[in-house]
Amino acid sequence: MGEAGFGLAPSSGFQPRQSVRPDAAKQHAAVDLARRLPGLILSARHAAASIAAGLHGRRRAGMGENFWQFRPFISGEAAQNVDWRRSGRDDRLYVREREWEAAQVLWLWADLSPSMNFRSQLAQDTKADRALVLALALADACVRGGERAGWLGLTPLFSSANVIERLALALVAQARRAHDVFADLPPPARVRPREKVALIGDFLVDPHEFDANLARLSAQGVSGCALMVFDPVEETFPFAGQTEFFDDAGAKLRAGRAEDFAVIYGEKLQSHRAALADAARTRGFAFALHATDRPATEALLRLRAGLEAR
Amino acid sequence: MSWVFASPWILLALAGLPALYVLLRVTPPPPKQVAFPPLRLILDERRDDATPARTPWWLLLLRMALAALIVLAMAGPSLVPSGASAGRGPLLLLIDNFWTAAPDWAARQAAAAKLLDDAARENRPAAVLGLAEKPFVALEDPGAALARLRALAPRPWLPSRAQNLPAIEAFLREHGGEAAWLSDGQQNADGRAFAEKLSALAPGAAILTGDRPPRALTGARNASEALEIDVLRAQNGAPEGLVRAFDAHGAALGDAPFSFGSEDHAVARLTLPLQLRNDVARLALVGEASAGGVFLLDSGARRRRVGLIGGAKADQPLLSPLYYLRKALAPYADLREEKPGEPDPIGRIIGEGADVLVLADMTLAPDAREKLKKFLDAGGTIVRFAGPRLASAPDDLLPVKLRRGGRTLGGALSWDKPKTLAPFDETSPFASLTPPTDANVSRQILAEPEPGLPQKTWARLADGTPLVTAEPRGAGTLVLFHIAAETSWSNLPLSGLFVDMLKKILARAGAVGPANEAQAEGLLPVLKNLDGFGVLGPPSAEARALPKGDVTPDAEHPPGYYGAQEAPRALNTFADGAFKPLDISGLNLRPQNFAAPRAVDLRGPLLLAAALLALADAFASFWMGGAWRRQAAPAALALLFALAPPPAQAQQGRVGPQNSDKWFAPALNTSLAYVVTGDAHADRISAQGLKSLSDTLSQRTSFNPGPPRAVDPARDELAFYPMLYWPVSADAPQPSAQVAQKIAAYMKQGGLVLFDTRDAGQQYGGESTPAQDWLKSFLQKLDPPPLAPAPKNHVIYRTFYLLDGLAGRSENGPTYIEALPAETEGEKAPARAGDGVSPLIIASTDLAAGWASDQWGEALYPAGSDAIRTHELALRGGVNVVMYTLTGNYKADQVHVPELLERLGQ
Repeated sequence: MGEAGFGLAPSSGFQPRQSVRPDAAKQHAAVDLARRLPGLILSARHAAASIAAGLHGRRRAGMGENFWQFRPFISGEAAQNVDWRRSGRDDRLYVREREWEAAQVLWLWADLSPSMNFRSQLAQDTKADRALVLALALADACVRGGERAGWLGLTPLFSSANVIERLALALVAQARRAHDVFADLPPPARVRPREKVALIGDFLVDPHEFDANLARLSAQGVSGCALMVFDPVEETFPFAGQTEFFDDAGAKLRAGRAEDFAVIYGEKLQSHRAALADAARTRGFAFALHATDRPATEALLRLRAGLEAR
Repeated sequence: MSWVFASPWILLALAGLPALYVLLRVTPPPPKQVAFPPLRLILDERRDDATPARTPWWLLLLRMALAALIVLAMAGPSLVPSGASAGRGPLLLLIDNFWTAAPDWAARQAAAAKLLDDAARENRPAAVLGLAEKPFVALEDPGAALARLRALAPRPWLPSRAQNLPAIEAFLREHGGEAAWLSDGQQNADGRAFAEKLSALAPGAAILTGDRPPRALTGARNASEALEIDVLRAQNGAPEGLVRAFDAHGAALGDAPFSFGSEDHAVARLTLPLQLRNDVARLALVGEASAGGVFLLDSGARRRRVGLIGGAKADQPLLSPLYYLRKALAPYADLREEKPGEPDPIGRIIGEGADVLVLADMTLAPDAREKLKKFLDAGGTIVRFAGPRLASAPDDLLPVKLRRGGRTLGGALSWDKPKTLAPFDETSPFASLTPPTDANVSRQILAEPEPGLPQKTWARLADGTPLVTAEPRGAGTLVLFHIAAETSWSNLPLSGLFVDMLKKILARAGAVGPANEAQAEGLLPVLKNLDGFGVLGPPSAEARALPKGDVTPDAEHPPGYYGAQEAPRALNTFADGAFKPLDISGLNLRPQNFAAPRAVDLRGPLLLAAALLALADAFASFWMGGAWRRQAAPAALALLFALAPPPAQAQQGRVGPQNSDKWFAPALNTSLAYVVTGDAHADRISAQGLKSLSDTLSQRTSFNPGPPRAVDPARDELAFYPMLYWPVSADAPQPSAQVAQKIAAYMKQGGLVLFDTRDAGQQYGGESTPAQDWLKSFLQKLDPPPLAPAPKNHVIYRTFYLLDGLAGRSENGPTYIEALPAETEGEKAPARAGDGVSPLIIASTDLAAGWASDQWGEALYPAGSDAIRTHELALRGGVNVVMYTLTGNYKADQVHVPELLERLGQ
């Protein structure tokens, strides 16, 4: 990944806490998001281009131009539909049918809640940055592949090449409207059957809520993929000594010996993930994991695989 | 031992420690703050025993100790030995800066500095007075006094200490205070008197002495077998040692050990061959760096200077008397000879400081006799040899009266056989020699028998007739050999005895007195002076001319060399001196050894301990915070590595230059180079010219040069370039000597420097242009070969194109190149070359501007009416120069190919 040049010097811990603390500096968050978007767009394009050759190459020849089958001419049809070359070989008339190529629709959603706004020293990006990059890259890849993409519950579907800019604009506008408060689960939105949904987030929520959300989507006939983005320290728990933990909601835990919590935490995390994966499977969603110290390309491939499998 | 605090009231702060204890006890180190988004997963695992309520006791102890140490250090503690008393009032430091203090001068200075430091800590002003300096003493702050102390150096004389008493008295009366005397422990001139007066002025003053009594060389005698050196020590000095002899150039000639035994006087015997012994100019006590440990030898002990004069000039050297004398004397004496056709050889040689004059058979003019008599009066030795001239015309400068005519023994008309030599008398200087039996005399001149003749006779023949007679004249000696110095009268000059006899005469000969008027008046100018450490250096500023007679060294007459350069007189520091211990019995003075321990300042160690504790506390805090494993440990390791000595790799890197592109690129591809002159315009033209020349070379020849390179001879390596183009800019500063050396080395290693004075049109008449002047002064540093205008058939005009000259922007201008060997008569070679490549070509036609072309081959700086032709000629000249550089005289040899083929065909 080459995304550099965010305005802020990266540091570990929760990134700008303006979005979780009730102080007066909330306006800055919007500016901040707007300012980091150009960098994200660039890197998203890059990521999309890097996989385009592998999975989308043949589908770019043009829409509706591929041969599908010859069928007998039905009287009453327009005569121009007759494929005279084929029909000349025997006594019947044939119509050349091309492949019916309705564009697939992909709804994207990335968790931008405060808990995502975190980066440890082991990771390159905050989880939110990584999720945004992935979502925008996925959108770009879809549109380049001739499909249509939109932000779940926020935008209409786009098929234009500048889908990244349009999504970014919509996100900035939303951030301004909502005063930087984003939900940690996708909002209820209207989707059509057989459309695809890609959910990217850390999903540090009650597995029942997660399940309920997926159930609502599943009831509308869509399937898709849920990618759980996590920071490496959230998996390895490399803490020791006298430590005071705090999270984005202001909860605190004082540990005399942090290493004592490692095993318990590991068990809790495994069960949490298992619950999430179970919920996703039953609702027809693929479930994938991605650590922010791994390259984003990996996650993008995993998302694509998850989306194409169903 | 006792404790002393500079600011004891600061210790009150120790009372605050209990408060610190309470404060530290209730403030545990803060836990590490960690952001952790999935915290809600383990939030219900909260435990109550997780926070330490109290600081651990050992950390508490550590911090308390840290605070206590800092408070103690701020109070300025020092450990004072029980004997020393901390005085009050100003400190007057008297220092014996004599040569006797020189061997342990550093220790003395350190001891004095320590005293001043102590005074500074107690905020006492101080004054420093060197007793060999001008008696001036002023109250100063300790810093200034320390500077004054640093400026003191031991003096190579022993002055009267009493001269300082008035200044000391005035000081003590005005300021009071304490006096300390850093003494050499010797009586010297007036030690006791000074000590008495000092004890009266400053009762209880400390007298600090060292435990290294001085030693000195007091004399040296050139005895027959060895150089005997007197060594003296003060009481209980080192029992044995080594005297080392040096020649006038400072080379060590030999060592002589000595041992005092129970006495304070010893003799070191330096056994050296006489020739080497004569070379000894300086004796020094090894390990005793003081003026007294050095003994200078002057012409009194030096080898003699001998003048050889006269004798018939024979065409055959073996018939010349001077030949035998020269052979005999050269190993043992410094010879001065008469020059052919010289008007007054005797006067000149005497003026050059000869000690011995050897006159072969010659008649003396009256004025020469006068000079020789003066020489004898001054102590010179004259050795005369007989011969036909002396036999026919004896003069009055002879030890004995001679009979006119000689005596021939064993000749055709004589019954006598040639006579051998009789054994030498006991009284003769030759007494220790044994005459060989085969040395005989066939002809001699005879002395008139007269009273006293036996006393004057040093050697006689077997029949008793004198062979060598001598007589003291004035302060000198007049010696006459009754034979000639060559072999026609006797075969004695061929024998070893002849050499031995001359050596004995030389050893007996005294030094000649003053040779010029100033010295005759008795004032000898200063030549060189010893400093207090015994190093011979330039004359001191205060030194005055040395009067005749015995002089004790003092400020105006420091030891060293005086007089004429040829025959200097040595004034020694402690010649015939004697040590006497300083007696302070019954005086109110406190004797101390300055090497004994003084007060120890404990501030530094305490602060260091506090710093270490602080470091330990920091590590402990890290550990408590749990960051030890992840951050502090790597940090500590990094600190260890930083403190560890650098690996050998770093040193390897320093050995060779960086293998960067800057070095590789020119080494991999031969390219032309020009010297950056600093004139931007000229440099641009050079670059353009060499670029188009390189292109031309690639097109027309098999040589594909790389892109031309700008070279700064001061910085860049030149070895990669076969040729350097150097446009001379008269305004440019002259290159440094290092650059000149580098260029000279480059030329010697086969490089060619093409200087271009760029002044072809301006050379008229004999005037040299500014560029030529610049080049001339630069070439003087380069050791250039002989240069000449390149002849029309020089190989440089034949290497690729056949040319008439090197054209640049102008077609005509002189070109200088290493001069070729002269052309053989009649030969008309089509091409001539010397050996190898000329290291230097000086062109004048602005070559680079002539070569320079744009990308389409048009001249960038067209000149003249036929610019195209000039440009082409310039490029051809450039090609020829490069080909000459690369192939040398190959083309000159190649012109012979047709002839060789023709010969082979036959």
